[in-house]
Amino acid sequence: MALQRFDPPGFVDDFGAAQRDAWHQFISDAMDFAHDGTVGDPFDSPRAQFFNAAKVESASDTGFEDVKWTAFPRIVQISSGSDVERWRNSDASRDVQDEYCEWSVTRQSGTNKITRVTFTCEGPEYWRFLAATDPEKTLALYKQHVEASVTHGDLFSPSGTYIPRNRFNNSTANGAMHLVQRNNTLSAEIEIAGAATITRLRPDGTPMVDSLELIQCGRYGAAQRHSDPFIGARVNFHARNKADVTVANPVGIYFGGLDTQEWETPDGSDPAGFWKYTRGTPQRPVRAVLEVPSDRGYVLGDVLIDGHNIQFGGQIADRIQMTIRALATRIGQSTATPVHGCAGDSAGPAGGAGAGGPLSVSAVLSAGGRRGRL
Amino acid sequence: MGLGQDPFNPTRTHPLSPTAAGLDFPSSGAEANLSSLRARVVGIDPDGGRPMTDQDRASLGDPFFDLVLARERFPRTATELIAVLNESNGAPEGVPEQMVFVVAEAGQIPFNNSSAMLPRGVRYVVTRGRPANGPTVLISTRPPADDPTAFLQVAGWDGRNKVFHFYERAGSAWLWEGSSLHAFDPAARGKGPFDSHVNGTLVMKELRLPWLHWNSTAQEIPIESFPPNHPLRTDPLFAARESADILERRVVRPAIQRWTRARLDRQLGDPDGVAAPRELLRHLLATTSINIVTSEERSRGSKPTFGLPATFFFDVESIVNQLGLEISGLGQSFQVGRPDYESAVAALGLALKHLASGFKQDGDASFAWLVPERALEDCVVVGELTRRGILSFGFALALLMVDAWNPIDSAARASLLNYVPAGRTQAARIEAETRKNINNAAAHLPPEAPESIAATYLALDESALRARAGAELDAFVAKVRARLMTSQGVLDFMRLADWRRRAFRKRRIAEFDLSLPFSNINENAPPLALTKDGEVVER
Repeated sequence: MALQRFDPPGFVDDFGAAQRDAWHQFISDAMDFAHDGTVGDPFDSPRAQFFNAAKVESASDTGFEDVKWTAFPRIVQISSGSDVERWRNSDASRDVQDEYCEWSVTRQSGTNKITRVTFTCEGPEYWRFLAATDPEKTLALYKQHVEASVTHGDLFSPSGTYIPRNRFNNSTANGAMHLVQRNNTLSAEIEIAGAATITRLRPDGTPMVDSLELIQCGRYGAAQRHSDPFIGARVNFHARNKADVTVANPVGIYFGGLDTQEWETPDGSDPAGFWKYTRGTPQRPVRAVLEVPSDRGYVLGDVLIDGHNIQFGGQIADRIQMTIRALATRIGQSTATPVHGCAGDSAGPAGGAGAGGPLSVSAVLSAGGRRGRL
Repeated sequence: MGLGQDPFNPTRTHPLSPTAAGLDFPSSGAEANLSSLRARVVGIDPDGGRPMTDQDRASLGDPFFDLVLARERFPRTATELIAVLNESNGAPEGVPEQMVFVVAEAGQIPFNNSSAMLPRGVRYVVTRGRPANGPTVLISTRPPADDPTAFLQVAGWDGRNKVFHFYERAGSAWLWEGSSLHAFDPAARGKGPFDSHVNGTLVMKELRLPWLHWNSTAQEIPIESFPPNHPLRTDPLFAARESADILERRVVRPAIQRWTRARLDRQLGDPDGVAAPRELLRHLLATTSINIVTSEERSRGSKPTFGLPATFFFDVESIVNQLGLEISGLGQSFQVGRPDYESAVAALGLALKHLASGFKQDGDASFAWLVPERALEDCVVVGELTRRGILSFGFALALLMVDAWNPIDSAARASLLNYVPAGRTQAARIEAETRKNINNAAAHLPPEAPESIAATYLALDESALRARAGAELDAFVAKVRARLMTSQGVLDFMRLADWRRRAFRKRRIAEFDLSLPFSNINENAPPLALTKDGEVVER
């Protein structure tokens, strides 16, 4: 039996019934879109081994793989010469936090010590839709998770349009409610998974297996990140194994955990207890806060990692794992033939967006003028 | 071949010699009831080992001993060992969390006619631990994991005694080969497991991004690297392989930190003083071990310029990351043009070679500019010693600035070890005694002598030293950058890289031909060094 409904990321419970239906439809459309690929490009369409789990049943051999990567942005890492340089660079702007994890740092006035770091991996599509369909809920969540003083005017334009990069979600200092880095989208996640299901052959007839050659040939994601090439490589591995592949429900990016080994606290307590998931389920967390309880007499900046005081959110991001869950089924049964060529080798018309319904996430997002395939 | 010798990994094993030991260990089958645990610390115990005493057994507090050997279980393979550990998964002392990592020097070389006979050199690292506590049992073997002829080694963290214990299976016997402390015992140093675990902790040579040779997010070891019908293709351990970034962050770095702290607690806490101060300052002045690192860019990429590893040029890890000296814009400092790089690769005839099989693949490794760098385990000791106030920032930086342009194997810096007290010294006096000795020696030596250079730096107060070191390193970086913009400069640096690779091959930690590319330069060509002006010269 096919999946009844795509749930919101992390099974968060912000939606009413109509919103849930619309969200399901949005993800379902995105799945269909990712399956179709770039219509007209024989090297990128269709993606026969990618499937919409709400329309195609999974088989009894279904297996899951949690694809994991480090939250610290690789692009910052390879362009920085020392630890402090890369930590500082990663804390400089949300625009460089491109591993589907963004953070904001709160500091103590006077000492400038870090007191709290908030991490999010919630896609912007979800929030734009929520804000468009339930502004009051959106405001309440900002008040709950970011800052109690947030007002409607902080989040919405005079015409009532949600501002994703509002002043409580556009920096590394004033809060992080959801992802805003331009490549950190759920749509990107689904598109990468879809595009990576095409098995490709080199000119000599051997299969492409390397993450870099796959992402360059498939033209999905950003090759310099930890996440995109690796997600693609793992999905493609299952595709080469002649499985049908999709992203498991609920589609989203998740925290895979924080490693606090060799952290030192002034009172010897276990810093793992300072790490709290504040949205999503414990198994599928989408928001996390690291903060020392107020009764301890010290703050996060007094905690040491490898002997260094925590001075940057990037030091923590070094220790965070991100994950998405891939689903493979009908293993060994696919009859899709490998492709001799790369996406874009044959120029063709771009695909269109899915149709809307009574309440449509795509329509809502399009109304906001967002560029993209969904 | 001795008992426990792995025919596919002879350098990995420290086999028993039954004849020499007068022992008769079974390797399989009916004699398996002779399984046992023996002590064999190479260099101290007889070649065939010796029976474990009650005192020996009482000193073992790691989960591998507690959950396996102490229960009279003597698994012959990794598969059996994992099964034994699984029996305790529900117990409070169990280590249920398992991760698998895979390394293979030839694991990223495509399988085809020319590489069909190439041994892939696959090894597994299987870690076991309790969630949130990190791994405490580390199993090293090769596939297939149920092969009783495969080497099988275990490192277990003993939380009670704060040491790693090292074990190895030989035939159906298990050998306790010592603890981290034996790494510093003159009789055992560099022998047995301590030929690679030089400082008594875990080793991951390719520790940093892109973790060359390891299965990782940067580059997988694809199943297609292996022949059709190869048993690895259906091996559940291989299928469960994780990325090496997890091994780095969750296993090896914490282990190095943990052991370093435990070691320093022990050595510095001795009320009679530090028994061997030179053992500590070797980490500052010498090169006790090596990591290997590459550029983060592919050797056959299309990017017109890319960065070389900064640690190739100076000790960024100790000077910048551990001591905190700020060098601005370091990240973009060591860019090389791809045409110059490719010309240098061609001029030196770089190639990956496996001498026994005759395999040769022209060019650099898959990631560019593979070179040895100072081992993290040395740098972490430097950081810990300064944070604990045993060494001042100024003292550590002053000595690191001597011949700073040669971050590894600097004879000039190593010569300063002679001025570190040789005998037992109170921890608080180590720096002062060394300072005094260096200054006294410098008074009678020419200004270019390492002692004189060190004395010049030591004479500065911290602020002045910080400024001078920063300025000198900035100037050095600028000169290197200028030379990297010329074909000749790149070729010279490539020759230096090759010299360092040749020197690495002489270390016992270098086990595999394919670890590093070979060149057309004679293995016995004169050693090279880098000067303060960014010039490559014969030593």
